[in-house]
Amino acid sequence: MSPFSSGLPGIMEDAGVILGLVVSLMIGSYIVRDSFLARLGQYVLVGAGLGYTVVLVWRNVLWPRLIAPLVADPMSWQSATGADLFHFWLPLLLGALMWGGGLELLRRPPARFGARSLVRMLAAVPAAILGGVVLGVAVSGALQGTLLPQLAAAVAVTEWPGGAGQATWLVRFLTLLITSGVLIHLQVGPNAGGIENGTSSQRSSSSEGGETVKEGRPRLYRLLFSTLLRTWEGVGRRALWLAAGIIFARLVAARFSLALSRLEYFLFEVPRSDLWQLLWAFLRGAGS
Amino acid sequence: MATSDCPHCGYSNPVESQFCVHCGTVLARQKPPAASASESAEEPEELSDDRGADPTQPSEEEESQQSPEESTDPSSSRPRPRVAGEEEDTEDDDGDGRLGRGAGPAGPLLSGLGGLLEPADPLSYITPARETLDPTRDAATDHSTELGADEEERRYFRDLFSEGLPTAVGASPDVSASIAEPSNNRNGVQRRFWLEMILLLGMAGALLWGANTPPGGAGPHAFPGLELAHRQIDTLPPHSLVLVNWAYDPATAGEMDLVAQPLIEHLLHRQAILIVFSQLPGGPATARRVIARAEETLQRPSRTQITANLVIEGGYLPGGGASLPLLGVAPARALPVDPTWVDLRERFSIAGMGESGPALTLVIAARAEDVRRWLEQVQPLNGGMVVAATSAAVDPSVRPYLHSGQLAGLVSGWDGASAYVRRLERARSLEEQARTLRRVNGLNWGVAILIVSVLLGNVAGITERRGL
Repeated sequence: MSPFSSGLPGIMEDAGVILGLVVSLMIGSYIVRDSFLARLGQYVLVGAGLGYTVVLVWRNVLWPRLIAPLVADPMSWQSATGADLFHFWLPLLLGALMWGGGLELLRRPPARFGARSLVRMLAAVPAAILGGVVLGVAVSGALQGTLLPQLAAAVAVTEWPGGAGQATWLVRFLTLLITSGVLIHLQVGPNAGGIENGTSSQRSSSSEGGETVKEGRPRLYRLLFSTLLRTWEGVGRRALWLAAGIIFARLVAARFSLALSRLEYFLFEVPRSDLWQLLWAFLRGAGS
Repeated sequence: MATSDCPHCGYSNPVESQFCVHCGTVLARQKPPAASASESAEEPEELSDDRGADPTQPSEEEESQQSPEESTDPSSSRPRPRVAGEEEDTEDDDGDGRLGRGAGPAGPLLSGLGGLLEPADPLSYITPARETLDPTRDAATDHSTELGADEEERRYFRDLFSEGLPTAVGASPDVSASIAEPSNNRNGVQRRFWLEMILLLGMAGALLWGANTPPGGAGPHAFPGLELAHRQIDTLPPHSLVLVNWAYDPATAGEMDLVAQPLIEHLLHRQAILIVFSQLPGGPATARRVIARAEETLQRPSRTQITANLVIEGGYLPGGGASLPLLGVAPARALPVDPTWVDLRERFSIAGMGESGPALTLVIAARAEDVRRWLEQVQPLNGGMVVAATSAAVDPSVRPYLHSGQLAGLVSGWDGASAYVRRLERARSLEEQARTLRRVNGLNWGVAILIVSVLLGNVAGITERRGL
């Protein structure tokens, strides 16, 4: 037997298939209407998922990494080195604070300052550490992993060694044109209350022209600039919709794959299971 | 459009909603009959007759319903009838008083913890709404009296958990524009229902009978990046350490299994040592299932033994993005400890991976965020090659990383997986060929129906606009 098979007897796997069918149908009934069964299916799904997560965290993280070493030597804090304190006792303390704070948050806020208020205040320490670390990692990661490499790839004269070989000058020019066009659209496009298309654009440019006459600036320059900006913005707007269309197309492909997978499960996998055939034979026998 | 405020978060929902669009609170049993205002105006005498000798009771109840904010009774926090727009709401009710079928908004199925804290009440679905909400029956009052002591506590819990939860649309939960139109227009709702049914039936029909049709065309299109991914794996020396970040779980397994399996097969054929871990709780179990399937494609007689010696199952690595940098600098320390594979860990000496990192990292992800995280948090630290296998929806978001050279290969979607399978140069069974054909037909039918629907919708829209 493969070490990666579930190890369950066949009948149990079949039972899982049938159970999956039932829960799928319950949740799928949402298409017809939002019903109690649909909700129940969701609750079962979420509850089972949370339960599984709790077991997994205990088995893979809490017990082997924290609790077991501490249980093995409960008095280790007396002779613990700095590294041990950092690896075991500090996480335990921060975790306990956060847990206590979380439980405390489930209750109504205390009216007076006391132990409960203190727990609430102390729970902010691990929360702040967590938030700070996540934020720091995210910002530095975005800089070193996305912003700088993407910028470097966009302006690089030579090909990136492992690149797809598509960054020709034409592509770079188009990238610049479209990126700036989208930026103009988002900054001064119709939604931003700036340049408007259609008649309002004409109105906008003519009013600008009127202003230029009053201010004595050359009308042609303003008109050309306005037309260029409007054209550029139009390119950006169309590129934005094109990108949205591409994303939508790939999203449809992904969701259709999921739907097909479920349909295939209903139509082919469930009827093939031994338990289903047994149930079916029983039902047919009862019917006749 | 007539709306009713959610008693939990205060969000204005369409009156037909059975659940709050924002927080998922059950609204159906709390909603008063749509015609209550008009009925209360027309039938005060009937009500007082029903109540018997106490003619003041109906007016008191009406008062408490209309101004719950001013009342100190916890039960008064229940929703009050919205007078404005109620007359038009009555049109949305079926004749028997039950709320319109399918008229509820298409809110998110699972809208977070806030939606789960309001337990589903079977009675609200079994009991006809008019009967339940009959003002003469006073059932709502009875119920609220029963829960009165806990009402404030429950409200506090719900506020606590619903606050700041992301909504489906964005920070501002203003989905009225998208929800209001179909809710106002029952024809629109029915059309959507029928569209979904036609889509499902079309795809089911293609699955059932698609395997009998002759295959045509050149097969799914292979996007750029697939060839690179294949080359990277194909040139791996035997017994290379490959780190596999399994970033999807059963929720997206329907698509992602198809993408993951050929790459795992290829790696096993190349005799790579796989170290599999996941940051999702359901990831390790999903990985185990797919690897077991991929293992079946290996040549007998000793495929199980080969796989047992080749694959190291990691496990669940919690901590999200914050735990990834450690994986970049010291993978042996960061990788999760699963008691069942400690001996394997020693046997293969993951510590040997040490400073140099793995020969290749395969990120199998259903979300762009997971690929991005890896490229931001880990790759800059270990500089290793990364191949991504993603959902089709993720492709446009991660493709720039391929063009910048941060990704050494990219396989996305079912079409990419299918093209990858063709490159594996292994004999495919008849069943596998039939399954592929069925899927191609199913997808084609689904896309065709969607395109026709979009075209018809556009034509209808243009016609209506001209008519106006």
